[in-house]
Amino acid sequence: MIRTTSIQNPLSAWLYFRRNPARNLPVVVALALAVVLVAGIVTIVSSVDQTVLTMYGYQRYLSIVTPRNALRLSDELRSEVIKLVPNARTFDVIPAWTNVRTVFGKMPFPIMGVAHQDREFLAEACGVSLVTGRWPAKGAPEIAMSEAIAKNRDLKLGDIVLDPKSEDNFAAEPMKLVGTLRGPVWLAVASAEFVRDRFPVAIHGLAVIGASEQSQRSIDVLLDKQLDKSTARAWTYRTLVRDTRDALSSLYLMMRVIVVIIAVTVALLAGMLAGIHFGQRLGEFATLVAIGYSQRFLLRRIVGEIAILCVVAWTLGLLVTVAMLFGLAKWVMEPRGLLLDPMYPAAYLYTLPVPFALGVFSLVTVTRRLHKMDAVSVIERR
Amino acid sequence: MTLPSVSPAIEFAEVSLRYGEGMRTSVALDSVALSMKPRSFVGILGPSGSGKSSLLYLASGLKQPSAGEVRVAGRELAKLSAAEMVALRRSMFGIVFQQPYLLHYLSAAENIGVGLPQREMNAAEKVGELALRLGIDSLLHKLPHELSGGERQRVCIARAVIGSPPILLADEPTAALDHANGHEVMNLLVSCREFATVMVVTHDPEMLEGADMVVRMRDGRVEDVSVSQ
Ligand SMILES: Nc1ncnc2c1ncn2[C@@H]1O[C@H](COP(=O)(O)OP(=O)(O)OP(=O)(O)O)[C@@H](O)[C@H]1O
Ligand SMILES: [Mg+2]
Repeated sequence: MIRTTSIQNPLSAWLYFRRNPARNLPVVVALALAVVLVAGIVTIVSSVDQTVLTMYGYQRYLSIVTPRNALRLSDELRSEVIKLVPNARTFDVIPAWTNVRTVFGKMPFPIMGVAHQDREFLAEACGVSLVTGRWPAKGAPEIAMSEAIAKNRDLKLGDIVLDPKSEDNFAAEPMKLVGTLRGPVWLAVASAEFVRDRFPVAIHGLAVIGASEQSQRSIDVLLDKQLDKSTARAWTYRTLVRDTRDALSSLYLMMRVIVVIIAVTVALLAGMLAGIHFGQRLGEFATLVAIGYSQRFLLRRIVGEIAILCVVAWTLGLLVTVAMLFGLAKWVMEPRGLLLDPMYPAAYLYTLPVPFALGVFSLVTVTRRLHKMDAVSVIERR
Repeated sequence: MTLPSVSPAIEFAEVSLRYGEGMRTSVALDSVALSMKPRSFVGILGPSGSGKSSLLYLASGLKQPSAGEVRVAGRELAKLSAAEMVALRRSMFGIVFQQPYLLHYLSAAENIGVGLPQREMNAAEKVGELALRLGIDSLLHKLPHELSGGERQRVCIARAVIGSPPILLADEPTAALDHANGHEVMNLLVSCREFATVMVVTHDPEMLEGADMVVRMRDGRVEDVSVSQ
């Protein structure tokens, strides 16, 4: 049986794509793999700063001021902060430290020693609530922490979080996990009295919490700009983002270079292949010109062919990437308490240059050769 | 499109074609004057290098003359814009080459469809009818590599005539074929006289028995023109 639509439009780009798998598949596969590679690299690299911003996300709701050249907060510093942000609530925070795993190694995370009444306020400000167990008792070697941290550290209720024999997670006496928390950010708290007594060299901090996330941003700016840097340091979401971006800037630069190299490599190869394929199709193009098809028609057809190739390959690449990253997140990262967002939008944006470069290179190659082609001599040479 | 039956379909007026410049100039055609009547079957004979193909490429506008005028249906080709030339070639000419080139991934039917000047709803029926007339209806679903040389040439002729062009040009369409196949292809071209002026290049005089006009070429010149009554 003869299909009628293909007789009506035998030169459709889609028909060419479908009927020439041996020619189109290698390009599709190469392009799709490049898309997978780029999206994978960008997602994994981005997971670093996502991890940092998620881990220390509590900074969105609270800023902390610590003294310089001292372990304790002086009265002058306290009053200076209160003068700067009179409407914010302030309270003391004494940190103990635990180390959490990330894709790029271990990172210190503060277990905040806060007084009973401040702890409730802190939890509320961060939108965090207790899901299992209880809050640490006053003066007891106890800790409550977010489920995510517990998972990351592989801890259950009753397990030792900090231990005198541990290098990474030290405390003068064993501290137990007594409660787990849930909320939009990670948080770990302990009794202020216990931490003050058993962590004599911890640097005390002054937590500053505004009425809203909005006002917290202006508090951040004030603290960051107004405090005398020689006597105090402000730990704010603003400085966290800035420091993270700074620390990762060379990593991002490298990532961009790699993306460009991949895009150019694939594009060059595809451009060469397009040239070879054009050579193989000289007879086709020359015949079409000779029987009365315009160069413009042929160019439009080639643009269509390349566009189909790029769209099909890009879509295929995206599907494979999403599947791969979901798998990676679910079976590799999540069980280890590591963060990876398989649908990170920037990762997919970064893949766009690949089909674009490929399309442009192929098109330029073919257009140049089509313009140079002398239909008559091709036909006579055959 | 049909041609007025009085004015010549194709006319060469003192046409010359030269390749290269200065000392290395070679003359492919030298002051050729020819006039072909509508719906006539014209054979072009001559030894290799005598300018037969050149004549054909000039007629179709694929090459431009160095001097003289080529007129098709009264219009001088040199005066047409590139776009007009493309449009003219699409609507007025069917061209068959020595090597029967078909798009390898298209069936015979689809390859014939390539010859339609514009997209048509009833393309499939048209192709079917034509194939029946040309006796190639059993080949329509086959891909080019499944066809013999003669069959491929017949598909090429079908592609050239599917749009019922008033002018059909063929450059040694039988050269790659054996005697029997050659004759069949030639008969097919002769039958196209019904609707078209047919100009066929060959070096085998035997193939031109039914021709209305036979032009003998030698060294780029018209040596002899014989017109049958
Ligand atoms: N591109 C070209 N450059 C230089 N000379 C050419 C070119 N094409 C053709 N010629 C010359 O023009 C003359 C006529 O060539 P043409 O192809 O018309 O001959 P022909 O009669 O078709 O020959 P054949 O039977 O071998 O096909 C020949 O002498 C040939 O060498
Ligand atoms: Mg020739």
